[in-house]
Amino acid sequence: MIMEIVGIIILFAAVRMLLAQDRTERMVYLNVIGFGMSALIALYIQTSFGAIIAITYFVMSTLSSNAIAYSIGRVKDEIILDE
Amino acid sequence: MIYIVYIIAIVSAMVLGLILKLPLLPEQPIRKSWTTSVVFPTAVLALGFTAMVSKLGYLTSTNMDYLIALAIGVLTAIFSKYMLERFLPPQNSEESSDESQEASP
Amino acid sequence: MNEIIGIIIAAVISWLNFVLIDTWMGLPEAPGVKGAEVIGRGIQKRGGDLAGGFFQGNIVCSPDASAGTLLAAIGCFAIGIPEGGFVAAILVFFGNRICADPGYAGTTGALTITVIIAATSYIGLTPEMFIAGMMIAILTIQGLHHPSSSKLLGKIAKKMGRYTEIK
Repeated sequence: MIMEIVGIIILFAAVRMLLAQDRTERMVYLNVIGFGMSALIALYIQTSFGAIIAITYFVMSTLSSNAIAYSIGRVKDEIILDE
Repeated sequence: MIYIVYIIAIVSAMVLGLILKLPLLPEQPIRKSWTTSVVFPTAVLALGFTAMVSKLGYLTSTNMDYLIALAIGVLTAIFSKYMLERFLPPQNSEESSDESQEASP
Repeated sequence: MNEIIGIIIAAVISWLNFVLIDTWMGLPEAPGVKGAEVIGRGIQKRGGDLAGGFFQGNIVCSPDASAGTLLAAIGCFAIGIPEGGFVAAILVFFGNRICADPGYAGTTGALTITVIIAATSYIGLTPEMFIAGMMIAILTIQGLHHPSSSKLLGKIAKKMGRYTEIK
């Protein structure tokens, strides 16, 4: 039952992410999905190595979100030249 | 107290940390400081490494347990004093102010 | 312990654990990295509170107590209590240092929830319930309505003296 609960939360966050307009809002929903995927990995592979995989995946996804959010900020600052 | 192994590892890490002249607590306010101290991160690393070694199957219930825990504490203190700064250099919250002023030609 | 009741209790405990520790460790005060500032300003533009926005941005951009709580629950479930929590704390610490964060929030959250999981195992709460509970907690903060939850986080930050000075 726990996997179903986590799966429903991921689906809900994914739908809201597709319907969101603002890019920064999408990053926050993406974070919820990252939490959920990490939990699903550990719940499915119920061994110690599964926990290591889940924790490593989560830290890497947070690093990627960090880089993406930073780039969104830089893209907003740049001036686009019309050719 | 069942988990004497963890206590031995933490205590030996803290004692060796004090001998190697690590500060006891980071400077105030604690939440912003990057200094490696005895309480953080040495004690946390000692707990973690002992847990890893225990789950890999090397800490069976013999008298060697206490020696292994002592050795883990000693190695953790040495690691956090000399090698932590090299692996994970303290970056003071990304200097983002100086790279946002690039001139666009 | 009925599973639904257990999940609800675990959700409340995880919510309190991560919100209180994160607020105490100064997440609403300032954006830790530039990405957090972007997200905070975005939430402010949509009608939210800036300190709550910085809190949300810091959750996204660096492993904090919410990550520590979830990963410690995962560790306790798959590796064992309390070894799993300690392994999760050390990996969260390395993840924090790579993300340019000193690492206090994540490891503190992981260690406290490990103690709580060990203590509540005697009344029937399993680490699985804490995994589901933490997912529900993060859904309420980041998955429902960002401006409202950021205002709630801002109120908590003001009460604990960690409100942001930045305008």
